[in-house]
Amino acid sequence: MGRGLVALGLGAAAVAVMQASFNDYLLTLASIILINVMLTTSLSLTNGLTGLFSLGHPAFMTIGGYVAAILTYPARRKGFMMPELPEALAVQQWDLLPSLLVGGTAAALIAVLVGFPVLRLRGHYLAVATLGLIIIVKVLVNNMDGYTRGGLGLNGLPQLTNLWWVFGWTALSIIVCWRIKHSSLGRTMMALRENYMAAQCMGVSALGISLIAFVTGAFFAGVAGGLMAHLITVITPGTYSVVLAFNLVVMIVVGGNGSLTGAIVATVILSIASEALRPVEEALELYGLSQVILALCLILMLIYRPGGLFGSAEPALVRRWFTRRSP
Amino acid sequence: MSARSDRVSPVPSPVLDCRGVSKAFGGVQALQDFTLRVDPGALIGLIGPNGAGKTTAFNVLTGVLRPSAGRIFVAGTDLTGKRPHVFARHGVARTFQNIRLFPDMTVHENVMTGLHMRHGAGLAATVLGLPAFHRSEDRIAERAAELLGVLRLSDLIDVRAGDLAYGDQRRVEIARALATEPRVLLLDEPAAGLNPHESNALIGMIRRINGDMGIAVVLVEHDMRLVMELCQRIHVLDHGRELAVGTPAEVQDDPRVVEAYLGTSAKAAHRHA
Repeated sequence: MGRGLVALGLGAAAVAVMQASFNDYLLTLASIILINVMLTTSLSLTNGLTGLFSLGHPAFMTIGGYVAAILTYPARRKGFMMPELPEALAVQQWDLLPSLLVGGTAAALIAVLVGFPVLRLRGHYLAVATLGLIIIVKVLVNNMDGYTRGGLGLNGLPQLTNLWWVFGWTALSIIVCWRIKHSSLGRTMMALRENYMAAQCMGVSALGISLIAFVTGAFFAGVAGGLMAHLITVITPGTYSVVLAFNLVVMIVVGGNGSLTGAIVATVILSIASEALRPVEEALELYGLSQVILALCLILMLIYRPGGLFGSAEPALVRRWFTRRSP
Repeated sequence: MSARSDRVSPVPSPVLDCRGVSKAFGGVQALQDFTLRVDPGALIGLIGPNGAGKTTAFNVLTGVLRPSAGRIFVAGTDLTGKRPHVFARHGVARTFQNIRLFPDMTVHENVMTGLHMRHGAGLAATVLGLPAFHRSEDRIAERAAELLGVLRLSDLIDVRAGDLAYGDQRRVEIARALATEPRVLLLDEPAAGLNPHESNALIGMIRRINGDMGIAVVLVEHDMRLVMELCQRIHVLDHGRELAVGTPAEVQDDPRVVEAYLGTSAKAAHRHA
């Protein structure tokens, strides 16, 4: 992991430079891009590596975001905003880290509940189930207005997230995904993707391994939801929707089928591109242009380079830099 | 023949014991009252014309299909209705008629996958990079390389499985199955598509697996030369039912077997030949 530390140090140095020289807008933008990276790398465990098709990330972000938001919310305003909150919770006002952890864990638990029945089955069941989950979570949040203020959403959240927090969590997400991918566990995930029946006949528990991929991804999505909520200081039931799921899937497909480097590169490029297109959209009054361009990217990619930018593997340069050499 | 299922207290406990198994697909009885007992170190052939139910038998024996009736014991444990990975854990390994390697992974990685269930590290050790994780990774990589060496496949270790020649794919699939450290290995038409030279090499390989490694082998095969040369006992299936069972010589001379393979009118032709 020596080389990994070097990379981590370089990343930290870059963050320090950005913190010193960027204005608020650019800092927020950089944070959002990094959160997107965290989302796509963690989603690539299921959608890239294991060959499952989950659309659940927005649902897990909503769960993690709301849980963290309720925990960090200033206690003096809780009675007004969340009247039905139990007394024990209403007096609490947690720091960001434990709130994020609880939010991520809540998302992971929901992932276990959804994944357990669905991941026994091969096919589109997971896509359909996670699509349903996005809607169920949205409806629940809308209706539990004693805790969530319903459709109004929670605003005025303390702005606890900064670029350092995001950088730390994104780095952790990348490290965890990288380690899983380059391990025996990761090989069993790829084996399930490459040939589901043969992998099972080699002793791979399809349910167990798929659950690990799905639940790990959900945890990081939950944390990302919490980070995002405390970055933009507001969360509503519709903030993370199917559109986000679509964007994330596009980034993974463009990056490559299970390539972390690909997911990172594609996420950064596509996030910057869609932000850069915003003024163009406004000037031309063509709102939604960036969505169209994203979809176009996807179609072109599928036609001309179906394996994505980097295919399933990491580029040789990246792999050689980080892989542990046997003594 | 029915006496076999009534055997009392067998001396060596069978590695695979399949009792009166049936499998129906809708109205079609693909397998009916199938009984197969594989003792440790046995080498058994399963033959029959196309559509006789051989692959269905393999799929039932490895948990890929659930039997409609009957029970399957692996090394004394009743695994009827369990999933394939449970069969693998109890020591059943297989290859496939239509090769099912992991094409986008190297030969080494394919074999290493087979080693995961017995030697792989858990999620916590993997994510934290604990010493146990590194030990397990090293052991898996070493054992896989060793196994490929024993099977004389070391040259192919870094080749992407999808890029292998056909005959090599068959051999790598066998290597991957052996990586699960099985008690019994089920080979579904291992010689299909091999040239005579390659199938000779395959005979040697199966002998080493059965003899040197002491793993019981059940093979489905159309290449009669290979079956007759290798197997101690042969089960003949036709239309999902067991037609005959015996030594290669017994089976070859059984008129019912000849009939099933060649049709009634061919019986006479066989006698003249």
